[in-house]
Amino acid sequence: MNNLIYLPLAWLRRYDPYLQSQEYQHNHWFNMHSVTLWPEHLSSRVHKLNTPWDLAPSVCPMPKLLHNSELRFDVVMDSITHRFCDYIQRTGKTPYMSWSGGIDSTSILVSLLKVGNSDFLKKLVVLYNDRSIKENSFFYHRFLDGKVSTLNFDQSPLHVTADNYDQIVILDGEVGNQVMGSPHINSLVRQGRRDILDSDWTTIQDYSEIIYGSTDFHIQMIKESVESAPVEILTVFDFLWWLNFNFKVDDVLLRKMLTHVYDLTPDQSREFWESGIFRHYAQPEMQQWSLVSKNQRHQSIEIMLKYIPKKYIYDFDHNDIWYAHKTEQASMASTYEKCTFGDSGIIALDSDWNKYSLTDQETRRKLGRILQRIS
Amino acid sequence: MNHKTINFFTTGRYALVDAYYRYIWINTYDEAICHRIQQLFWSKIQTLVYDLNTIEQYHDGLIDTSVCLNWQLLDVDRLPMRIGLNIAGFDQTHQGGKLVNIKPEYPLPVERQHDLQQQMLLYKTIMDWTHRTLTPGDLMIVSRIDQIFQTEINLNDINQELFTLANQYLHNAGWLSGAILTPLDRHYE
Repeated sequence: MNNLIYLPLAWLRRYDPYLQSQEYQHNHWFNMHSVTLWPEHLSSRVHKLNTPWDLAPSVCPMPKLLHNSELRFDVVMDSITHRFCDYIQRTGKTPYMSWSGGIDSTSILVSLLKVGNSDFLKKLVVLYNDRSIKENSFFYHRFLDGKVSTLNFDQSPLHVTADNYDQIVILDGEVGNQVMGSPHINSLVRQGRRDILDSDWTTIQDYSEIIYGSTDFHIQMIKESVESAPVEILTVFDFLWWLNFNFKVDDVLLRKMLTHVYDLTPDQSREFWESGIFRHYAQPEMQQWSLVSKNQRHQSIEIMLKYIPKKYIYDFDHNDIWYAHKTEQASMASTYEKCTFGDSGIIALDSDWNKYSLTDQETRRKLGRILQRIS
Repeated sequence: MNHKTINFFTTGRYALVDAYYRYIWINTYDEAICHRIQQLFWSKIQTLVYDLNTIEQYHDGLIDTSVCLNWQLLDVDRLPMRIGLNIAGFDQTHQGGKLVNIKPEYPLPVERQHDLQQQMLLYKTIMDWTHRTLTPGDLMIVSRIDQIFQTEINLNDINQELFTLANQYLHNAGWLSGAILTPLDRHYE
């Protein structure tokens, strides 16, 4: 159990509550989940965490800051889609777009509808469920229903198998939140505390004002990461975005992967990870955009949260009501809970895509030794 | 085509409060219709249902359709980190908070705000009328009415779609068609 790319601490602490006990020497890693929406799996993209378990480097390395990075979201989004459409044309794979009806996945869908040629749009399958329609009925009825192929995944789930894993590509809106901002920023805006977001983060006396439930250990860890950030972290807005951008990306990229690779061998899993799943928001150009557009996104909060992708969608669908009122909602990640880490028995993945299951006694013992719960 | 300006009126203890901007979209005595509108309009606006009777400053008749957009219900201590119908408590009737008569910053131009408010009131009025005549066999028409309100974003378009729908049912469900046409006041077009 070395070079781990996924280990869900939030699940482990439910499995073994002693891990949270003040008497347990490593409890601080397991008591971080008092922070709302804290990542289940913890990793830093810019520095090695001193965890008792051996973490592999991030699956989404921090991009280099380029001085000629594109500042326009629409240009970045559409250029990624162009590249994706070329890939589909070259390989003949079938693209499945997982659409929640929310801002992040709708932005991608808009880009696919704008950029994709007729051959691409004939191949495209939009995965949705009733919740997606509830989130954006207008978009579903105006642009999807009867216009492109759709598949209600509650009725007909898409299973990745050894027979189809190299013939399909799944797209989703994961990492959109990490690229745009953070739930803590949203919370402060909703409370009318934009003034805090503008202030210098180093002057904050009580960090629980900006990150509910944070501990000294949290803050120390975040401060260490700030020293290696490729852009200057000056304001509280910067600090809260950075926390999400640096510490949560690996978690959101991998949290659904078990559903996808459950029936695949390690080699097949790796191949599927590399070429069977495509995340617009994790592409290097979009990651660079997030770095260079930090101040632009901060200023746009004066207009609304997630203004930039919402404006991108509005320019396409002209739905002024959704544009003005749509707020971020809980993601579709929970719809994949039938095959979650932990509850499926599988507790970890390593960088060779080996799965570790607690149903195996040897794995349980190894984990116990790693966590220093047994000698 | 622009149709007659429809102006509906309602008042009552149950309020649909914007989950983010905190102003009151409509208030009515009918708790069930508040929840139904909350669900049906979710893709347009995210709201919470509040019982205004649990608020000290409220008394019957204080707020109605003509003024409710000028009232805010502040409850910031309980503002959720994320909003979602799947999050516990979102489908409940909430209590408490503080009413303030301050015109909030609208995210939409005022005329569009009123358009959206009238969409909700039109839906409420149609449901009031259709429930007087509804039989189990008529459930299909209700789901078609719901779909119109979910899909269309302008009151004029909703009005026209409803008019078309009512005409389709004239030959076998005249009473029901009348129930749709009544709030539109378009029985004789």
